[in-house]
Amino acid sequence: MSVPARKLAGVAAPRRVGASPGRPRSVPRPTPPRTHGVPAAGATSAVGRRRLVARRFHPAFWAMTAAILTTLVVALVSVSALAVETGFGIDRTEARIAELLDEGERLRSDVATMSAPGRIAHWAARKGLVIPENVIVLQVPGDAADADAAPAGGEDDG
Amino acid sequence: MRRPPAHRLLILLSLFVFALAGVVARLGVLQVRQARAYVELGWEQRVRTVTLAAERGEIVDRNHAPLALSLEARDIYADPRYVTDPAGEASMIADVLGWERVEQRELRARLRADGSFVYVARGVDREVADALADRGPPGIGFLPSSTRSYPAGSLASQLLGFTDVDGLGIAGLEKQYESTLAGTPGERTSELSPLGQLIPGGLDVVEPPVPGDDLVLTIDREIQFQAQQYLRRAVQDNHAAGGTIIVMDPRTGDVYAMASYPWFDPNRIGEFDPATFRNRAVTDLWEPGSVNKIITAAAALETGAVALDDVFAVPATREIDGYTIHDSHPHAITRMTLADIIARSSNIGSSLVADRVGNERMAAFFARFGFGEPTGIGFPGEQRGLMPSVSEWTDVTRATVSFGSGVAVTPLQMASVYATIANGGRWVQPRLVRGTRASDGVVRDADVPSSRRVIDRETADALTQMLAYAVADGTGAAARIPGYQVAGKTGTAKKLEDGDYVRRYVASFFGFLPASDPRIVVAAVLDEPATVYGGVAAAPLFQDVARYAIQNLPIEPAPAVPLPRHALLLP
Repeated sequence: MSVPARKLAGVAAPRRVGASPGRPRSVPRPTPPRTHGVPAAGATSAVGRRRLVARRFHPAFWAMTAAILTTLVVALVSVSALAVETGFGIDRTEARIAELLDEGERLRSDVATMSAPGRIAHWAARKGLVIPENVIVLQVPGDAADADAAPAGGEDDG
Repeated sequence: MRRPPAHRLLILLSLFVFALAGVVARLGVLQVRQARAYVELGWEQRVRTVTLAAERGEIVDRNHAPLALSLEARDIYADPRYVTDPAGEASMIADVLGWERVEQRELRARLRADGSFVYVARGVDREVADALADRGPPGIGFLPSSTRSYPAGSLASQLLGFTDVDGLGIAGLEKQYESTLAGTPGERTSELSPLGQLIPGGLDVVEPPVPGDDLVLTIDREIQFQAQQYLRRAVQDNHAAGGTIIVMDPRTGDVYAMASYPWFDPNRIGEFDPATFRNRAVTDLWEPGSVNKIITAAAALETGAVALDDVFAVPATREIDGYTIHDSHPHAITRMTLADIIARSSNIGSSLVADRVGNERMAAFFARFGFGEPTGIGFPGEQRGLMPSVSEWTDVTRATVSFGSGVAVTPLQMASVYATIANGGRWVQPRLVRGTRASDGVVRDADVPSSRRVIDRETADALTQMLAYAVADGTGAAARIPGYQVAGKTGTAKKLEDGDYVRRYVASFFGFLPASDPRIVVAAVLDEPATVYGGVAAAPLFQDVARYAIQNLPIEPAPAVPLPRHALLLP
């Protein structure tokens, strides 16, 4: 048989002997070590501050910072310039490709027009060339086809 | 100093709170409830989608010689609001574009019109457009476009067809293969500033267009050209109204050449009669006349109704149900076998043969040869032919159909009949397209054309002998070519107008060579030649075209087939 939770809540948990049930016992704070005449690290004595400031505004620090910044700026500008230049180059190349493709297309059209049989025949006719009529295929004796030449025209039909 | 009453401060505070609440409420409406609508509105204002036109595929012949290609061009438009001198600009533009005075006047009116956009000219050559741009007429702008060019002019024009100003195929193969040639347009979607400049870092998505595939035809440019030249000469020499020529390979169904005269130049379609745009080889029907007799002979042999050595007593005229049919020339009653009937092209003999075959079997053979059905070539406007239903056939119908009257077919349908015989009795679907060529140059062959057996090889061989006889010693003598055995048949058919036959004729010759190993079938049809007869008008055209094809393909001579053993009229 189960027991209602309400009743179980009243059952005391076993305690360890000596352990406080409430807050943890307070731990004594460590006392800083005492120094005699020498300021401890992190202490802000006037001398330390002066030294720190002197080190921070040392010319070498500034020179180094300036050098790094200049290098960064120059690099950034160079990269930007390079990117822009490359962009222009790509544009130029793309334009050139388009131009050459157009030109190729035009040349293909020209070749097609120039090689059209009608044009060649017209040119040939102007030069006095003609397609041979009534070509006769000569056969090696013994070959089969035995049809004879016939005059143009023929009998009529139904 | 006296302090203001506390209630005034409270009222003022309440007013401020109330106003602030209103602002917050409105902010909520804008930022929450209508947020999507405003986002879309802003998107519409900033984002522009431009369609990138796909490059239209080329049409090339079987050797990849270009027959139709697209060139870069410019559409020229005007914004009349900024045109300062309509008359002066119209004159200048007309001068650069080489326009006539009428066109210049029309342009002047357009430049004076209300509105902000009118086309000046479309598909203008890029160099011409650049020349105009250099003059900098105010209010004139240029848009990139393309124009279709047919470098060989009128070569195969009825086959190729043409496109409209928007580059859409509207006739011929340009129309039939529109989806293949057109490609898929691309899109560029970008975010633009109010000044129309691209916003850096903004949306800029390009979906490149996919260019259309090139169409590789079965046409041979050289044979096509020469066939057209011979056709034109034949039409002119015979004072004909027009004509049609077809050259095809009976083994593959490949059409090497197909043309009708008169033709047109697709680069200048406005200058030609639209009637010349028709590819009459597939769009026009004609009563085939005597070339049809070969189907009667095929039916007779294949069904066993007539044997090769059966002899018919053929008179010059015959009366059927009150109608008199007659041969082309009077003659005494003549003993003829089937081969003689074909070689001498006897109408009476053909009708006697048809009597033995019977209506149903005759009709069945016409259907087997493809009459009444399109060939499957798929060309726009192809006709299926006219074939009377067998239930309507009378004795007269059977007789007239046997020699090619009372039925109507396209020249291509009849060419397919002769190709079937040349191919040993197997019908192969004629085709105009060999395959497609992708933009990377890879060629994809078209599907193998369908085929079916129509008659036995033995029957086809016997018919070939008869056709060779018709050329060697019959009506087709003018088609003979030295060194090659030609098999073919002449045809002369009266034209039908308003239900009556008139004294105008269509002359034809259909044949193939070499007879024993056919490589080409040539169909030559002349409309209303002064010389009337197929053997006189059309057979020489066949001879010219076949002779050129022999040299061009080239075709080697082959052993001759024997002439029919049972022919009685052989000298």
